[in-house]
Amino acid sequence: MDEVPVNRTEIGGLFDHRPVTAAGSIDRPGTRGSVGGAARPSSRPAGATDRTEMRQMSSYGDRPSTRQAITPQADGSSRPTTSGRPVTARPVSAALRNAPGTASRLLSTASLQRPGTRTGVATGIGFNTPINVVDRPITQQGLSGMKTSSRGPQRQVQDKSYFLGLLRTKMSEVVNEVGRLTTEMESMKQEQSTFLTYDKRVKEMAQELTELQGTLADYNLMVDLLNTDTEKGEVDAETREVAEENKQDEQELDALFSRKQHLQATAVQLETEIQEERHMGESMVAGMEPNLRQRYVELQSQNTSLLQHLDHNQHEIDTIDTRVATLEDELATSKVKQEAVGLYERLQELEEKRTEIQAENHKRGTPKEERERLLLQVKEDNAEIATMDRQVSEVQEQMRQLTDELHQLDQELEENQSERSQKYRELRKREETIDQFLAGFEVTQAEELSRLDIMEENNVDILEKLSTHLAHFKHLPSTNEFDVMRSDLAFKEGELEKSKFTEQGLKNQNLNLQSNLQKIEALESKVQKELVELKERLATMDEEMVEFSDVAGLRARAEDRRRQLAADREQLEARMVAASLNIKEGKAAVASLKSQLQENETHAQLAALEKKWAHLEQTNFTLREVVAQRKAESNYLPTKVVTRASRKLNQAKNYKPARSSSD
Amino acid sequence: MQCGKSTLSNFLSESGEVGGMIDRPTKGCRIVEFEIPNLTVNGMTKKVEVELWDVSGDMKYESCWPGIQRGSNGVLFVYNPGRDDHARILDHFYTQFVEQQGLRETQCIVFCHYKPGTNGKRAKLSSSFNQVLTVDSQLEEDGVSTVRRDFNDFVASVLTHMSAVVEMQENSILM
Repeated sequence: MDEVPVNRTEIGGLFDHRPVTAAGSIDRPGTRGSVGGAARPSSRPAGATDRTEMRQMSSYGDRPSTRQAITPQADGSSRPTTSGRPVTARPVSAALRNAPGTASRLLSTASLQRPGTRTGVATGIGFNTPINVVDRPITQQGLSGMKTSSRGPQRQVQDKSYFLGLLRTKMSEVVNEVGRLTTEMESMKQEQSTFLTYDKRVKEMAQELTELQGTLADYNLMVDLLNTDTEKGEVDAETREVAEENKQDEQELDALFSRKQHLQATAVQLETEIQEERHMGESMVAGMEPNLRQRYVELQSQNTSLLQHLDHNQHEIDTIDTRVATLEDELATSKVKQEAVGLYERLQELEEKRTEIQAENHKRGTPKEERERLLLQVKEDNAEIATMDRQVSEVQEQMRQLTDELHQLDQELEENQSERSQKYRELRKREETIDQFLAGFEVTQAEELSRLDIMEENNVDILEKLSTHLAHFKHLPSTNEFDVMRSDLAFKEGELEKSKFTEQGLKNQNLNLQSNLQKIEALESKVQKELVELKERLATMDEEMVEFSDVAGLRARAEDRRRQLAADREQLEARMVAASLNIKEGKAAVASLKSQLQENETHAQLAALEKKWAHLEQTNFTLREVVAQRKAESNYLPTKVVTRASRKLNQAKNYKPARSSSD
Repeated sequence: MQCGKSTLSNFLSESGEVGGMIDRPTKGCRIVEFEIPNLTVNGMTKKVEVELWDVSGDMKYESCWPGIQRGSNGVLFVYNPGRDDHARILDHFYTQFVEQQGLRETQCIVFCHYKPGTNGKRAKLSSSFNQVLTVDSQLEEDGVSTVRRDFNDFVASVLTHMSAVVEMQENSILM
């Protein structure tokens, strides 16, 4: 129990094994089945298996039945221990049965029982596995699992093995750390070695980068130029300018260089000159008289000593300065010292004052003398003040005058200057204009003359036109006449319009009339025809008139004719009677003959035969027709004739085959 | 023809300096407008505006003449005394500008112009100029004022004639 946490922490990998143990636990049901409720008083493993079952129900399809077989026993003996399970798997009745137990009690019993089971299992199987098996379900289970896990801190019994394990872990950690550090070190070394090469490469890259940046700038510039639509010419011009500038700069540089060289040369020369001068001085000293030389030497030594002195003093000053600086620094750091300095200064001032006052005291005599002296002094001072006031006023007055004068003068000066300058400018302008005019005179004159010429030509043209038009001008009517004519024109145009209308009307009328005329002409022809007819009729009538005029003759003739016709009628009537008699006789004869014929038998036979004959004749005719048709169909003679003729023709065409065929 | 018409007109109109100009032949004509202040016409002193047409003497511009002639109130002839042919040309001008336009002799004047540096007698003019006033003119020294005075007198006479004509017309309308 105590070792569980250790194991867990010690070997993290063990968690990975858990599934395996779970699988191991799967075997258990089998044993449990054999053992039943008797061997296992604690139903926890069973519950655990149940829980696993529940998860692996598919593999143990028959499990529920076995469980039920177990359950009666469990109910009886170990029900209380199935603490957490009922919630998940048990029916309500089971839970109710467990109710009196309550969670706390159950838990206590579970905790009591479990160690036993676990140890038992632990001895049976490997070291860690069973514990895990038991543990796992618990952790996975809701409440009770939590409880068992919360029991972890109880493992406070730290025995030897625990510490050993702890030490081992630490050692392994240390070893690991050492290994890690060594690898790190090696990697660092490698990195350092590579760093140099990288550094080199970095430098190279940087150079390349700068180059590329340069080109990029060039391209950017180009893009800019493209964007701004700069002409190539402009760009060329710019480059040329820049090139020129460069050239100029180069030239300047050359000049500077040459100047520098020149200056160096002069410096060298000057140095040599100085050397020479020194030599000369030495030679002069050498060439001096002994007296002077001695003096010179003395002076020189003095000089050197003084110089040394100077140096010394300078050095001292420097040291003092530095000291002052340091002291000031010190002062600045401490307030007390600063205050001290201030107080010292005040003390000095006060002491000075004291000495002054002492001096005054010495001077002072008796009070009377003093008073007189003071009075005198006051008087003198007053007089002096008055004179000074006067002087001041005088001076002020003078100053005022002078400033006024100065102002005036300034003004005048300004005026003069401005006027003059203006005039001068005007004159300059005029001169310029005159110069310009003179310079451009020839050209402007020529231009003006040409313009004049053109205008004159124009004038002449206009004049000529005018003159020619003047000739016409006389023939032109005056404005009045023109107005009249215009009104006339308008009037006449109106008239024209009107007459046009009338013309149109007349034309229409003309057309109408012409059609009328045609009709009338047609009528006339008709009338003439009628006239002719009437004339003919008149002629006939005239003739008839002649006839009809002879009324007696006419009557006689008519009488004659009537008489003749009457005679004819009588004659014909007589003949009609005779004829009708004849007809009657004939009719009777015919009737008698017909009746005789009807009565005759042969006649009837003959009639029947006649009918038969006609029928036969008809059939005969049809048969003959059929025969003729068949004959026409079967008759080959005409074709034969034709084939023969064609054969002959073929023979005539090609001679040889014809002969053979004729054979 | 080069007898100083343009010079004279420039002088009369007081435009430009006389003699300062380059002598160039006039083409067609120039019109110079100017004012004569204080001219006494019919006893009245007033300001008169003059429109002086400086016509070229060249015959090649004869085609322009009808336009120039129209509406003219007075004619001022200028000729050069040294040139004999001028009399003949002047005759032609007279017929063209005066007779055909129906102008009177009082509306004409002849300036016998002496150019600076030329000398010569006044040439005899044809009979048609008998009735026309003829004066000498020269633009040097004391001649200046004479020329101006002569011109002013001429303008005055022309104006009197014009006013008379106007009056006559008005009368004719009234009648």
